[in-house]
Amino acid sequence: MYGIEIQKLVAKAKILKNYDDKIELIKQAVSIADSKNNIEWGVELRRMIMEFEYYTPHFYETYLIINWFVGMQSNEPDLIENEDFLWNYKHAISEILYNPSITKEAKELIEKDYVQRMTDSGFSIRPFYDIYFRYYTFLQNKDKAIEFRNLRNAEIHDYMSNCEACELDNDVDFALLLNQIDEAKDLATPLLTNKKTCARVPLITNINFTKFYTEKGELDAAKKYYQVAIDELEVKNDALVYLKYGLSLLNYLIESNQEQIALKNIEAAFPLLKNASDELHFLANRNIANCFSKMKQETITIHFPDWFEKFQPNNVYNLNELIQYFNEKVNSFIYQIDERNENDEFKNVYLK
Amino acid sequence: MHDTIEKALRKYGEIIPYTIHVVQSGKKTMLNEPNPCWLNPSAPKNEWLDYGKKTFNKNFISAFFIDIPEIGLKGVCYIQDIKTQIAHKSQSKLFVKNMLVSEKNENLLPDWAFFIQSVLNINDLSLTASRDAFVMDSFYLTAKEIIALEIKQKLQWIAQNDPMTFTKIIQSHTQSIKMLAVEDEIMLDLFKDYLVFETNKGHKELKWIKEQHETIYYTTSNDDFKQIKRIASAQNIIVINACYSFESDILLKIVQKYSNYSILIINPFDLIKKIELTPNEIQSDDFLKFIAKANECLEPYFCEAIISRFNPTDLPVLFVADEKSANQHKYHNQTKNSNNPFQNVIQNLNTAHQKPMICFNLNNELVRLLIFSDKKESIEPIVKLLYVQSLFLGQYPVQRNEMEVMNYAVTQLLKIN
Repeated sequence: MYGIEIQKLVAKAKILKNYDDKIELIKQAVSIADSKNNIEWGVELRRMIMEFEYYTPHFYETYLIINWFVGMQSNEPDLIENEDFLWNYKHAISEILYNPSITKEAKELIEKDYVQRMTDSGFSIRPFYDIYFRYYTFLQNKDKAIEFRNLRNAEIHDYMSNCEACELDNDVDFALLLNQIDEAKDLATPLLTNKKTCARVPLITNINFTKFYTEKGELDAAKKYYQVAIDELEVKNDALVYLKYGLSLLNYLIESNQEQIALKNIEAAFPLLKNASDELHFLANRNIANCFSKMKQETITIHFPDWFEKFQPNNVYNLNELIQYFNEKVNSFIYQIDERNENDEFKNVYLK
Repeated sequence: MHDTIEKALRKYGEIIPYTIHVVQSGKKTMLNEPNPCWLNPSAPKNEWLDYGKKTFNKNFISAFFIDIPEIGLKGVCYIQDIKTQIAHKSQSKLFVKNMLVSEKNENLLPDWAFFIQSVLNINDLSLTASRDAFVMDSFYLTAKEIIALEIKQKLQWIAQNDPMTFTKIIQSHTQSIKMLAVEDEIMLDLFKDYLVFETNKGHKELKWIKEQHETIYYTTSNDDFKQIKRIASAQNIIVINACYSFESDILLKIVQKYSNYSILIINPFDLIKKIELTPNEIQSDDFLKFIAKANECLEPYFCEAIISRFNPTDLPVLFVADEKSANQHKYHNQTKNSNNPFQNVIQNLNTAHQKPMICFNLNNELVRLLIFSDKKESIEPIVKLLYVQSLFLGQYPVQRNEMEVMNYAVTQLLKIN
């Protein structure tokens, strides 16, 4: 009988639209499966939760589940499909880089474990190096980025690697960091002409070009990429995509005097920050702080949700107070993550 | 050919305001009914129901007539007698200016009315060039709004004047009605007394719950509810399982709107606090020593000991945990003694949350013997046995770790004897 109960919960989860609601229902199904010691259902349902959580701004459940899989795999290795497991493990590797609540020792242990599992399963560790290549590009550490790009390129591309579009987008981003615009455009051609695409590419590529040209003050060049990016965002029509990527366009919007659209974008994405990961908080706070700091007026009118620490029922905010608030959030993350990593890598680049 | 034409005439011309006849071999047959029962507000309800059964090939609980002259709409709405998924869209057999446009239109009735099917004729809406859909202009949107209001009003009328039908509707479509009540205060006012909730005393109407209990408690987690229901009944407390969509929202709305309702959220720890021993009892030497020893035994399993009195008396222990602490307990035990690199991560993610409680029942003879026993060496194995028993009783997963604990405890007991 409990099998039917589980199937009912799964069916209900499938028709719901909200991914957190879906997760709640599947968690109920997990409880049933666990109480009956049904490992097969336990595996399948947990895999569903990870799949659903991918479409949320948080990562909490996936940690719990990978932990469960790691524990379970030693007892029931045949029940867990290694490839699915390693694919989700890769997402965790990327997430822990920006999660200061995970200690350096734990981070290193997890990375070592991941590399070991990939090698033992006959996969190359190309995705691990690609993650670090992107990470050091983000930190503007050119030497380290080159080191990891070389390591990545020395490994073969296999089923577990990041998709070609994502890898190429990382190369484009790095070329932009080096100010090699022609090289970046050449590399980006298959992405911008939609020959190589994925869920985030070429959206992210167009956003990166928009950011690059905006920072150079070449707004006409930026506009071309902005328009494509915004069209794609509108097609996706997903607040999470706005949160993950769309807020990177705030700088262009402010520089091109589109303040009201910038505020609307913040309003659309901000509610999802409530349960978002540290990485998304950091990126959003940084973009918002930067956007507000370029505004000239004393107060602004913007709809923040009522859980926002500085929430004002009349929606009118003192701009300086907001800038200070978001900068403090950014800096707090920077200190925490550098303390975790025992270095000054974030401080050197992003401290306000 | 003849059959095809006849079929098309019957279908599309069903209510054309002129009679259509077919004459074949001298025999004259009328194909349509220009004044069908579903366009007649005075027709008996059973005629509407018969027409609905014939048209939609299913039975209905009830039917009601709607007439909205502002948009030139007339027809009958049918209330389905089987539970329908919320994702299912309400379907209408739709005529425009007396000509059939669609047998399964899904865009005219509100989303929440998925348990209603209708057959409608509408005069004032514009069709697209292909004549198979409406032009989505502002008039169309207003018309949709008016239709939604009309249906609400009809349901309200049924609630006040036809309680038997109303109860049947509630029984079949609780979820839909709850969704409706969350969105709309009028509907909340109308339906709230009849809404059925799962409680520790079975499925009960809110009206009954309110009459029997001054304070109503609810949980938003199914796991919490499972925990609470076993002890709440013995304390004569009523707890609603509000873990499903709209339920906690409805309860919150009721609290906001009606000051005579006392509705509070509760978790298993809150409930245990309500049945704790008095401070004097807690301070007794025997109890303090037992708690200290039991905590020492339970420490490796991420649990804490507590003594209470509860019914039934033959239940020696309860594993009390809310959803978070139960998860924490589960993951703590799974990661223990393994080379799992995520152990530290999970611990960091779950810090500062309350541990599950192993609640020893002072009404139980075994527990009393254990607390006041002189054989102190037997406390450890028995506490561990009771810990595993509490997991069994709470239907929590009992895996290899717990089986090892039980085997160890039994072995210890045998050695003592």
